[in-house]
Amino acid sequence: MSMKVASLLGAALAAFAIPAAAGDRLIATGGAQTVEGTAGGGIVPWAVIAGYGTRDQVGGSAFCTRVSPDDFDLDACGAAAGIFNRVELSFARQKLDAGSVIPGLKLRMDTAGVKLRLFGDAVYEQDSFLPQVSAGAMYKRNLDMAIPSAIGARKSSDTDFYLSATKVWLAGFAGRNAVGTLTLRATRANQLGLLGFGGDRKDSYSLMPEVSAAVLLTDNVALGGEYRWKPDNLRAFKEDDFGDVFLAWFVNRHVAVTLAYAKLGSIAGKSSQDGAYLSLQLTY
Amino acid sequence: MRIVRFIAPAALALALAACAAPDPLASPALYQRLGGDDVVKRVVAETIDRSASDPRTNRSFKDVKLARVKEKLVEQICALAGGGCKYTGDPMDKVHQGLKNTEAEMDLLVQFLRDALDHAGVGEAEKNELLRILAPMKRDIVTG
Repeated sequence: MSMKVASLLGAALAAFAIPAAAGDRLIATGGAQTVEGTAGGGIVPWAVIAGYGTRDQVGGSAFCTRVSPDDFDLDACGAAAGIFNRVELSFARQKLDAGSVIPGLKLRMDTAGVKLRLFGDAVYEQDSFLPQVSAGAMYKRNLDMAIPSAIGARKSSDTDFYLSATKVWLAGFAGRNAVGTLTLRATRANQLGLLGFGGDRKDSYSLMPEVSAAVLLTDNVALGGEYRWKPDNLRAFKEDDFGDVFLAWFVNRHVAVTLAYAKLGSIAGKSSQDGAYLSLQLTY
Repeated sequence: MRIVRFIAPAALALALAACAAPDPLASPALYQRLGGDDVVKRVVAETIDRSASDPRTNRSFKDVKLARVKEKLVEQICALAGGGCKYTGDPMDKVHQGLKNTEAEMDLLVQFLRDALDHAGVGEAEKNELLRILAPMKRDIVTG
């Protein structure tokens, strides 16, 4: 872990240790956390800033997620700090157990993210059609490039850039609150970056849409779905889009659990990878 | 033919009237669906009392006549939610002028309001519709 990444994680954890800085934003408005570590759904970043900090407060959240499609296990853990509901700093490590492809193969990567809320208030501006809009970047570094390089991946580290718009419609769906997100991401990543970046088929950035939508059954239970289009850079291994349906339960202001069913398509030569997704999150 | 010539415009007029003014019995105003005066008064009282006593929110309720705040808030909700009242209080931006209310104080008050609506047995749809109407007031309330 580089010094930069370590200090980022340190800052996020230090913020956790200051109870006086605990945030007062409404429950569930910090979202869940994506496997890449930013506030969002499970795979799609939202424009919200992690944690419950208002514009005068520092908040944050930490998570661990396991996704278990047929032939793999993906584990991701990380933390994010939300500073004055304006800037989000995140760090997460992803590990894919790919022993079904090559016995003993594990592919790890680190993701450090920064997100800046540009404008908008997703929750309160109910008399406006404008969403909350944020811009973000994720610096990703693959730690196990031997196999990805051998199959044609060009780079071991790279940066994703994205623009995300999130809107809450109070009583927007059958009297329930609804939340929708559209994210546009420029990326060269192969399977998030677990198979490196760029490839023999395409080595330039692809602009990919991602959507996420949920209905709040109550103030603290969200039922939704996501779809994330992905590039297909490697000739050796076809890459498909990601999708999921999820149920997130914000047990209280500090603990949330997300259960999902994910359709991850073809991964490293194994087709139709479907499976359960479980995420635990601590928020303040 | 004469009957058709009469019925067609009449049916059209009825259809237009139905679109313009939904049957009040089929879809009562939000204020009634919230439970009317009794429930709204109870909800407002709990919200204001809690806001005035919680150390995180009581700052801007010091030396304030809570009975008047409650009365005007009920009146305002009644006016906004189709209860047929006229709001006679000061505009929200004037009421909150100089209080330097923070976002945290606003969000906590909304949480107290949600809790009070839940305690009063108000339905999810009615709760969310009321919050949708009140939400844009944040601009006038949060001045800190």
